[in-house]
Amino acid sequence: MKKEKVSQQIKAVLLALTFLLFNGLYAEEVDENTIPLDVEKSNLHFGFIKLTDCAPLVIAKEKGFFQAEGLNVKLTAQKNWVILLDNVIKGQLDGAHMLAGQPIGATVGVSQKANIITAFSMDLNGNGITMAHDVWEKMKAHVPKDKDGKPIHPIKADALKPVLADWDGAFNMGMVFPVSTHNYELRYWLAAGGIHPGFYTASDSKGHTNGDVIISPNAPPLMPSYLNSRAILGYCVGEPWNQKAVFAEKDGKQLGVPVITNYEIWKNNPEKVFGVTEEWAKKNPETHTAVLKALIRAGKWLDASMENREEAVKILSKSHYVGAEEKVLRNSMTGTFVYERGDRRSMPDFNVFFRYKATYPFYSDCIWFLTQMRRWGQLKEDKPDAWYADTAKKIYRPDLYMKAAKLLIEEGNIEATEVPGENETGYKPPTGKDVFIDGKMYNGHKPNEYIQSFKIKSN
Amino acid sequence: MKQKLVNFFESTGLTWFIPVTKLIYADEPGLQVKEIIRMLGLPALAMIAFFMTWSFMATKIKTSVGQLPGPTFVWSQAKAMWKNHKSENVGKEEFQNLEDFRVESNKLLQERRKFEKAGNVAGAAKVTNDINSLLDRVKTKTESFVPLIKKYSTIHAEAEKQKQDEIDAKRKEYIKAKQYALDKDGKPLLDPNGQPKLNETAAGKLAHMSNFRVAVLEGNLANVYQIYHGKFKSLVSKIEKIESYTAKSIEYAAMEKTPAIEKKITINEKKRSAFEKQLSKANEYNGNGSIIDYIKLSIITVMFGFIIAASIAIPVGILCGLSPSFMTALNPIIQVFRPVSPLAWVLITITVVDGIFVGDHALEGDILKNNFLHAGITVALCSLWATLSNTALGVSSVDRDHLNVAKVLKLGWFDRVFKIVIPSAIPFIFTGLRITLGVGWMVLIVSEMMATSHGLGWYIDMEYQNNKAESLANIIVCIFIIGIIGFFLDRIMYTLQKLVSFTDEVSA
Repeated sequence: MKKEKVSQQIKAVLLALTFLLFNGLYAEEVDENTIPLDVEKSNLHFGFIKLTDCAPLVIAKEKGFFQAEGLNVKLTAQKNWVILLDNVIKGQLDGAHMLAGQPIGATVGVSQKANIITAFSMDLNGNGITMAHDVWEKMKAHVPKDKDGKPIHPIKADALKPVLADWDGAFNMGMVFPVSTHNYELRYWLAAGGIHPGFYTASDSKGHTNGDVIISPNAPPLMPSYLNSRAILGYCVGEPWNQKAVFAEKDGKQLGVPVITNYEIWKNNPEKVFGVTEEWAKKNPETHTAVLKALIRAGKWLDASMENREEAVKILSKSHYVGAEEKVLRNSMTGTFVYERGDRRSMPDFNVFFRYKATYPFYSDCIWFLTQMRRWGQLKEDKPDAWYADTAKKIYRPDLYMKAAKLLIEEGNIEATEVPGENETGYKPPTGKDVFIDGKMYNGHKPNEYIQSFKIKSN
Repeated sequence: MKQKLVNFFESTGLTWFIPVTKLIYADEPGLQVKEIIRMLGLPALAMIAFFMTWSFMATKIKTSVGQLPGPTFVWSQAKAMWKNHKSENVGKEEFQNLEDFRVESNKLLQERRKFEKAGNVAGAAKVTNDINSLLDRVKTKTESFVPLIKKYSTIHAEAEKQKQDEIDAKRKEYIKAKQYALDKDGKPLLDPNGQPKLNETAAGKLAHMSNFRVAVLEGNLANVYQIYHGKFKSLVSKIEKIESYTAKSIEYAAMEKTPAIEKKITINEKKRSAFEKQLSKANEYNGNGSIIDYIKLSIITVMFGFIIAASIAIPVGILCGLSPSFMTALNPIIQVFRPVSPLAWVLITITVVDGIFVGDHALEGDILKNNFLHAGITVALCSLWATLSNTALGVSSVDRDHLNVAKVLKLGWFDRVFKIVIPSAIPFIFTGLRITLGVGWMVLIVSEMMATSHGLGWYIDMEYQNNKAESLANIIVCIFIIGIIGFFLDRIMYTLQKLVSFTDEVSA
């Protein structure tokens, strides 16, 4: 009898231990090295959208990196990107998780006009293009297959072209926001396969002119529902909303099939940034540096190990953060990606938060977005190469990033080799032929040459 | 006593309780029992029928996030939300404790600085002792979290295991019964992991086996304690660091002032003041809030909108009622704006409010933010029309005799309005206000969904975005909460309306 009781107690302790190790219990790490800055504002309020790449913000809060800098941060999910940016501009939020195109679009006046800057790139890759199941069934006939009969990736839009030719009625597709990475990636992918995605013109702010498809913005978490109601037949969106289509069902089949990830469209492309208004950054320089320090450390933590990613999945699945089921989040956060059910492929670089100097705001990335805005007609006029460089300098602020990084190196929280060195120009070397899906070479110093190299482009 | 209770229930419109009260006081028991059966039994039957239909439909309707939640699942989610609220409260309490310790330590640190500045070594040393005893208290508090964490993690782990065991057992049962999902050719379908998939009914039942969620959530307290354990530890380490820098500064002060020592002193001082400054900054609670917080905010917002609506609608309504020409002038505007949907208004309010309160005019404070104004003003714009037209009607239908009496008494305009017109129009005004509050409550949820980052409407939208089976159940819980609050708001207005009306003919 007594023995039983003891063994029960042992069992309970073991259970508790396993729980501590694996069950989403996480602790704030007490910091020994950090020397807090004299911040102007210690109570901060940041906004985010329910996507896995808000992780650096969530981790910086939950793992105590903000706390170590003496910052008391509140995070609130925002309804959509427009409201999020509005709230930042109005000062309701101190800063937010933003689409890389948002600070750029706001500064050059493509979307809401405001001076937004960014000194921190939150992640690389992380998006996918998902097609409705029946569209995929038709596309499959045109996709080359390996000897096991599995489709060979990356799947190009060439396979979609014949499907579109036979399609009755409009072919609607969803993306996230007119200046979002998703919009440019979806258009890039379609155009690389010879499908005309449509132009923005002076009289057409929707970007449908001359399009073979109709691309419109929708809120990310609602894409699977729209796919279900066939309001759209395909979409480009960040995780977990591609994997959601794999798990969701329609007529006994998976609702949608992710056909390509943005890693395959442009290897290691920048995705989200942390944006604040220029006024805020000027008014709170020390606070901004402290926030950047915490975010860089959060990025490093996220890329440090698979265990950390597992832990991040647990944290993100809480309903006030991303809120999706753990299994859905895990599918993309832990280095694999499911296209069709049963076809799980390894994708170690699908979500990059810190490797490859991912957190550094490169001018050349900013210029790539500007080239795409010009390509699709959001920027109406040709500009000299110098304009591109100047604009990038205004929006992307590697100087602020390096200020924070240097402090972290001094404190021993990161290694000097993990961030770009003193003579970093902010321009990545020109890309090779295998970086973009269409084999085009991109050199950040020559944006006009790059724009001219495209067959499908606005005039 | 009996009559008092009966009167109370009558005036609040809760007439179902009257026969119960009478029965308790044994007033014509037979009649009361019949009355109870009629007034409580029939609604109860309807309720049962409703819940039965609901649970039946829930098994039949499949959504993209799984089976439609039935009443049991929704009830377990309601309990889960309550548990969440409880643990949020624990978090708030611990946050306050932490903040109290911070304030206390900051006070002592400032005091010591003052003594140091004045060169009072003994005074500074005394404060150092105080700081050490404070540090001990913080340490004891920090340690007190450890057993709590252990206790609640055990609860959590056991609940999780129990839940998993049940689910596994059920799954085995289903697999044994070959409840597979089949494709067109009759072959079992595979799930993403390559395993045969259960059919819809079986999978739906498994997905809703979350009856142990409540216990799991109770275990989540471990998480809260773990977080505050970390926060307290970090406070301890900050104070300890300050203490070690202070001790060093005393050490250095006794040494000879060589340049090397001077440099050390500067660095030491810089570090010390950096940490001291950090402790001097007040922290606001940065948790995510619980359902109760959202409800509170929603009620505050609707009341704010209601007060704006009433303060516009009543004066304008009185003017309309007094002067037929004024009424004729305003009529087209009223008729055009009255049917406009809140969805249209909310966009206008957002733009206008943001246009006014921006930059240096931005509003500060916990709830007094633009978002709050958006929702509140939208509520007012959509709901003021009922009060306006009712007031106008009430004022214009004041008994002619009363006005004639006023004329005979040679009352001035003000006296006429305030002593005769308004008192006799009050029942109408209150009828209008009751409708206004009802409309306002309905509009509020929509405008919160569109424009804010708090409140019930926002919460529903966030749950919708979470896109999983529990979210749907949470939304259903919110629907009940909204309905019940709406009902109580209406009862309050009904009671007021009854108190001010001259007749008993107020519709429940």
